[in-house]
Amino acid sequence: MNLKSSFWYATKILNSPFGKNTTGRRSLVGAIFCIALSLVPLVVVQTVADGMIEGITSRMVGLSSYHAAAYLVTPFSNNSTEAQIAELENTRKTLEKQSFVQGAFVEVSGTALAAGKNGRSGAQIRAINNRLFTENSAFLKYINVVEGTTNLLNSSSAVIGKKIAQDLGVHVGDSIRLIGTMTLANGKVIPKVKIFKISGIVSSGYEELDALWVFVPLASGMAFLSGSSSQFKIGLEIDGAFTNNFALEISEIKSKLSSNWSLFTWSELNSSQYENFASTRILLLFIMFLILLISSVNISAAIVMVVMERRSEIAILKSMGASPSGITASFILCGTFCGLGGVVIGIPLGLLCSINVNEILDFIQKIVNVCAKFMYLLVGKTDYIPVELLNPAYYLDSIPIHISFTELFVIAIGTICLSMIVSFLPSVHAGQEKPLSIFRKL
Amino acid sequence: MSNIIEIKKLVKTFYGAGEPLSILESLDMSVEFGTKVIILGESGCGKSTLLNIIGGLDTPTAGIVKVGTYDIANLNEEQLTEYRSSFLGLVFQFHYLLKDFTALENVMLPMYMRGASKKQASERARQLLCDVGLESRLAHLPAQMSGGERQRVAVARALVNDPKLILADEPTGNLDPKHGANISDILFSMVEKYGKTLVMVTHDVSLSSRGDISYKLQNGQLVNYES
Repeated sequence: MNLKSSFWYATKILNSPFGKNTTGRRSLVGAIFCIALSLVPLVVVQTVADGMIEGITSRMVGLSSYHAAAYLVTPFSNNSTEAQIAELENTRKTLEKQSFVQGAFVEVSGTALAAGKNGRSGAQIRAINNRLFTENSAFLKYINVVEGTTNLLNSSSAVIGKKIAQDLGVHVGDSIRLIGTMTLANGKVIPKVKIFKISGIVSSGYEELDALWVFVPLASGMAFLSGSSSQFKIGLEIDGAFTNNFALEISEIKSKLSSNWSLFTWSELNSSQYENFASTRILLLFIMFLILLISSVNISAAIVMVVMERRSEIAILKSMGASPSGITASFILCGTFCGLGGVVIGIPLGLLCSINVNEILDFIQKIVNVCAKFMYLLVGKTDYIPVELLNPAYYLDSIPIHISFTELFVIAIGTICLSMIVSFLPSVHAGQEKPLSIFRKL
Repeated sequence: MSNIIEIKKLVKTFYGAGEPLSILESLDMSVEFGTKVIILGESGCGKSTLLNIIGGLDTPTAGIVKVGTYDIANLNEEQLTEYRSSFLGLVFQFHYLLKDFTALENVMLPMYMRGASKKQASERARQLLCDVGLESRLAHLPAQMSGGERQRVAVARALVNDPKLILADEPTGNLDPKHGANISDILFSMVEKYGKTLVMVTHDVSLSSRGDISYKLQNGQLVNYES
């Protein structure tokens, strides 16, 4: 029995009309849908996880760590803010002269306590030049202005994150007090307060990143932040930050910096997060693979059913000269076609779910909340707090997807191979059937 | 003329829970190429067992069974496959057609399995089905045909690979006398037309006259049958 006749017989098994004695074929169709359904979460996890990781990391790199950042490691020799700014600017200009540096941005950061109308919150002070909002491509791309403007209009203007604005209960035009510390000459630490007026409220789309942001003008920020507890850095946007040339570019930048500066790359600054994301993604995909593996057992069970149902045909084929390997191949092909059917249905369905994942989650969230609220009313409670399926503190506002056709291809081929593997044992068993023992039972 | 079947001292014993049951005891048989052999006997006398052994579906307990160049008792699975597909055509009491294949496809399949192209197999199958009078039933599934028609398809299928030997195990046993006679006519005429060797086992003593040689199987031995 050659492969083409095995193929022909396999297609006949799959195309057999439904009837009274077609449990096997029903099982095969069921197995196809099981594979398809198990592929849906796998594809969703793959596309959403990639999109989510890409969305989060690109925000972290673009809006926080930069592609690379030069940190001042020794204190300024001059205590004058103007002199310090001039020194920072000189270094910035030196770095910006490199052809592959798209932009260099001075930033001084530190922490403080922010107080508004409704409360207090810890704050991450980012003292910057206004050009960060207008020239940095990541800021232009990801920063969403919720209220007001990103323009730091004067020395007491501040642009703050959406979450901290909510916590403080402030809007554009309101004032906030930043409370820091100041160390006196005698070593005594005393509080230091400065009032800023909100000119804008922004969001990066990733609350964990922007929850405590308070952007203030560079000079005001430097004057406010205590030198010993603040970080002076020059953030760099570099062409080729994600290519093999990056190491070469970094070493070139290092050669331009004095010994007062240390240079760190985006991967060094965010390595723990990347490892965390990558391991979470692998774990999720592994769980999804287990679901797929369990589903593929259905194919094996369906092939067992088909073999049992078609024992007489196996005997007939063998008596006509069909080889055991030919019969085995027929049933393996059946299982493989099931896997293929699952892939053809499951992957597009998974992609459809991925593309509409935000709408689907919103819908489920609404249903859950309506049902939960109804239950609360039934038991006479009114203090219902709406459920958020994805806490915005840890996820992006809108889930992005990243479709990797290479990975989808691997999933498809893997599923088909898995179907082939799980069909193997019952198919071999079919090939080893003895025709006479079957004929005697007919 | 040389022998196509050469059986010497064939023994077949079934071992079950009780006493061993000897069905064939030191049976000898020779069949020349192109002859039609009828084997008669009562139910359970071992006719089908003998045919199954010749067909490579069963194995002898002892003895030599040579069919053509094949030593049946010592064939491995691969050689058995080759033997069944190229040397042998089987017709059973039941038609044993594949339910999802049309009459034409059922006849084509053995030839297609041997590597012929679909076109070649289809042409040959069509010709054989015309020979058995089923030219109008080519595209019908077994479920859409009568018992006699199904058995005619089975006869055509047995001949499609141009085998040297046709083994027929009660081919009319499942049909009424009229259709049984019709199938017998077709089988004998096809064997005659294509010059095949036929070994048929049957209850039907009336068929003994249709063969070149008739045997009766009794007490595990073949004896010449005189009608």
